[in-house]
Amino acid sequence: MDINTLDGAQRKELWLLVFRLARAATGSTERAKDLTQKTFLRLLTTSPWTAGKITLEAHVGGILQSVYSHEVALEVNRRELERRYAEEQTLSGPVVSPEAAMLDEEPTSERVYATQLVGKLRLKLAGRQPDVAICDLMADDTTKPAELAKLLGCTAYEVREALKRIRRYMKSIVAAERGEDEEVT
Amino acid sequence: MARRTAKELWDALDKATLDAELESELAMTPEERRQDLVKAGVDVDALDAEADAFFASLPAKAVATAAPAASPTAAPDAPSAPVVAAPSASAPVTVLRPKRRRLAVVLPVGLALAAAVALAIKVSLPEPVPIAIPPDDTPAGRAAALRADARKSCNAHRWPRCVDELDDAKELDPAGDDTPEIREMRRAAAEGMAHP
Repeated sequence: MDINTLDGAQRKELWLLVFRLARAATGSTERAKDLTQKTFLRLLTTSPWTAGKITLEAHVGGILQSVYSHEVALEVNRRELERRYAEEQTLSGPVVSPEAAMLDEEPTSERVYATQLVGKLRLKLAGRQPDVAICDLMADDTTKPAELAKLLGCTAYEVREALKRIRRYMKSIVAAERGEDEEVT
Repeated sequence: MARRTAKELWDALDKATLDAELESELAMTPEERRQDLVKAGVDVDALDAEADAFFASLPAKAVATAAPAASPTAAPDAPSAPVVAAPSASAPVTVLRPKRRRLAVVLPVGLALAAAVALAIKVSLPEPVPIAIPPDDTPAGRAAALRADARKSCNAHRWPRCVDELDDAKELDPAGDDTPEIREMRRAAAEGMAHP
């Protein structure tokens, strides 16, 4: 797929779609802009679209999810390294560089962090159905929307809307953890 | 059934909720997306300008491919009559003809070469591929598109997805769900999920 073959209006529509997804993913307009550019760079370089299996929109959506996941993973690593480095600095023992810390790191703090996040999410969701039930089912390894809908006795649409609500809460929790202002998206 | 750790649950929620956002976005029309952004207070014109700036910053593919594409294809189309013979390395370069006659040869050759290059570029560029926008944005049209996707999913034995798409289509067009074909697809999906 050559993006050059799309006309100006089509490019803008695709750009807006990616931006909206990126904003939904990150909860931040500025980060969404950055993610949008990275997504299009991937589309133009390593992940071109070929007609056939899926639509161009679904393809760029997949790229965005991949780019976003990569950024999240980088952020987790960065956070862990910073924490370990700060710990080392406060100790009287020899100072270990972030790189050395990475080599023997244990993901304990990430587990603790995730436990805090999930705890906060459950507090925010308290009493909201089917949102709470979805979290419970997902904790028990049921992740497919169709299965969730079947088990909960609701429609796929209701599950999707509940998942979107859950995401909004997740974003607000993460934003608060970062000390950022929460954006309504 | 293994219970997920908090981290696994958070990651699974992150993915599932983003999938839900993606599905929801894909169900919207471009105009709906644009209006929704405007309603949310996003400067859509600024985004358009960013898109324009991004694409304008890309190297023009036509320029990049013109040279290599021209050489193999241009040769047969190159004009045969007014070819200017290149001076051989051994022969001394001497002006043999007056300038007016040389111009009369160079001009048509130049024009012919330019035409050949333009033709080569046109041939080498792929046909424009339109974005796959549903041709019919009415609920019934979108439901029909969803059912076509569901048919593919069912044929590929992606049962949960097939049911999702059928359910989404049903919400848009309840009447269209009550057909022998849809009933058969639902039956096959239920059976497929019950006996994976």
